[in-house]
Amino acid sequence: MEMKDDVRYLLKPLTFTGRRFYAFIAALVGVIGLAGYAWYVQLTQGLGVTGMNDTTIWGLYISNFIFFIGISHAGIAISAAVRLASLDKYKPIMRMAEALTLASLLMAALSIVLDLGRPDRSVFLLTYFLERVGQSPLLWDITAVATYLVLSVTYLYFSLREDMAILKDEVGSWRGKLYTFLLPWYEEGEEETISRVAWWMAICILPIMVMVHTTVAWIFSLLPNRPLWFGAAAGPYFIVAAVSSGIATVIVIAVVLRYLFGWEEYIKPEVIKGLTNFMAITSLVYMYFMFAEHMTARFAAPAPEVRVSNAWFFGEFSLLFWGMFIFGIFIPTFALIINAIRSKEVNIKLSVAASVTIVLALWIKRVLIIVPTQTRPLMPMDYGLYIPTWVEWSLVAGTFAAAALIYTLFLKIFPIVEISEELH
Amino acid sequence: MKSLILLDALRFLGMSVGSSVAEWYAKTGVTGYIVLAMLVVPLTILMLAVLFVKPRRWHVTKIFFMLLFILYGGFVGGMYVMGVLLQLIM
Repeated sequence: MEMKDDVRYLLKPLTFTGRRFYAFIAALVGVIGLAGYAWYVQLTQGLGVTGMNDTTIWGLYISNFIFFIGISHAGIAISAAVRLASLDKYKPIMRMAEALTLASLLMAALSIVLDLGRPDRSVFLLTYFLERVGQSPLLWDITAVATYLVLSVTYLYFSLREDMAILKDEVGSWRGKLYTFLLPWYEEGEEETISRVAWWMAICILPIMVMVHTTVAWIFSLLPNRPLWFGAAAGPYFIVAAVSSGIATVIVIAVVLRYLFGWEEYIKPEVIKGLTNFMAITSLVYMYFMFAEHMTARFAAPAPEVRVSNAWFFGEFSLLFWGMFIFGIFIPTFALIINAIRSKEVNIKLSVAASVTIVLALWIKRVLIIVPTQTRPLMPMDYGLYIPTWVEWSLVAGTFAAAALIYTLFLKIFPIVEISEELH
Repeated sequence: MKSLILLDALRFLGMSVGSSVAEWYAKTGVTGYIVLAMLVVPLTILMLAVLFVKPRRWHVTKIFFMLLFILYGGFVGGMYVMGVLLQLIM
């Protein structure tokens, strides 16, 4: 298929590699190297090198896990919206979102492994699966995440087949060979069948996506002895945060790639506008859930619920909470809503700034979900204290660097936009 | 009078059934299986859809099931290999 110049420029990530790329990769590898050393220290000296203790048994790693599961939702949500609701204007960012799902799910799984003092024993999750799966929300979660990962990779692969077939003679020798290897039994005209398969996958992955984050929420909300965790609304609460943070991350990625590769005509402002408005609405819904949560905790609730809520509002977590809420969620959300009402044009800089703050705020919010409840146990113990150490911060930074590395390498190896869609 | 006896009989029947179900539920941990079903059902529907999708291209179906097998197997195998490798450090 002959490629016109206006499509060929979409191959820029594959055909051009500047110095900034190598510098970026070197920085990421450096951070991952530090994280690797931190993990070695943790494995050889035990979890005592972290800030976790008898009361606070879960900390940054689990918060990180929930965060990465959250942002993975954007990929399939956007893909499903395009395929099922025919929202074709979001086609340019479909694969960007799907690649984000892949990178973030892998880091979510890694975050759990990092939290284990004996990760070598995780194989017992498999050997005792049938015995424990009836009663263990953790096992439900692992099953859901594994299924979601398998189906997301399969979905991404099917969407890449036609592009690899088109590009295998255009993208240089090693990529061409890789694409040929990854195209077993390729037939001209298989696209119609693959399109139907992808449609079915979009339908079936959506309930699995909902179940993934619901089972993550149930790990906490099915514990009756944990104030502010135990409750019925945790599933929807987590899902709304997931969609909000996921869409925010996609906005940042789309704008960055748009700027780096000069794709202003390809990723039009309307795409950013639609994503931004949707993110603003989900953030508004999330604020409603936060209000409902603390209203329940403070109005005639049992004393332990009030204690935890007080820790958020007035205690040692108050600076983090109010900073996160006011500057991370409230102001950005209302700035976006006001901009949407007052102006027909999207303010891309505002969208990116709001997205970055919302992502950061929702990471902090996951820490606030995990840590304060544990520091106020129901049992007659002293209030716990949790101060993360350099090991935890290094490993968390390592997961972000690894996610960025996976995404950047994906960008370099495979087309990040759907070339076949542009040629049809 | 007859309706009162009937209502009482229905109530007794309901309680008998309910307590049997409650006993079975407590023993089997059926909640977990319901949750798993919420994952397995969409996956099963997907597998059936791919088997019968038209236009028929058997290699697409073959690739789909191969990917599922390889990826699930990779997940399980990866956990095992990770355990073995980490034992060398720990």
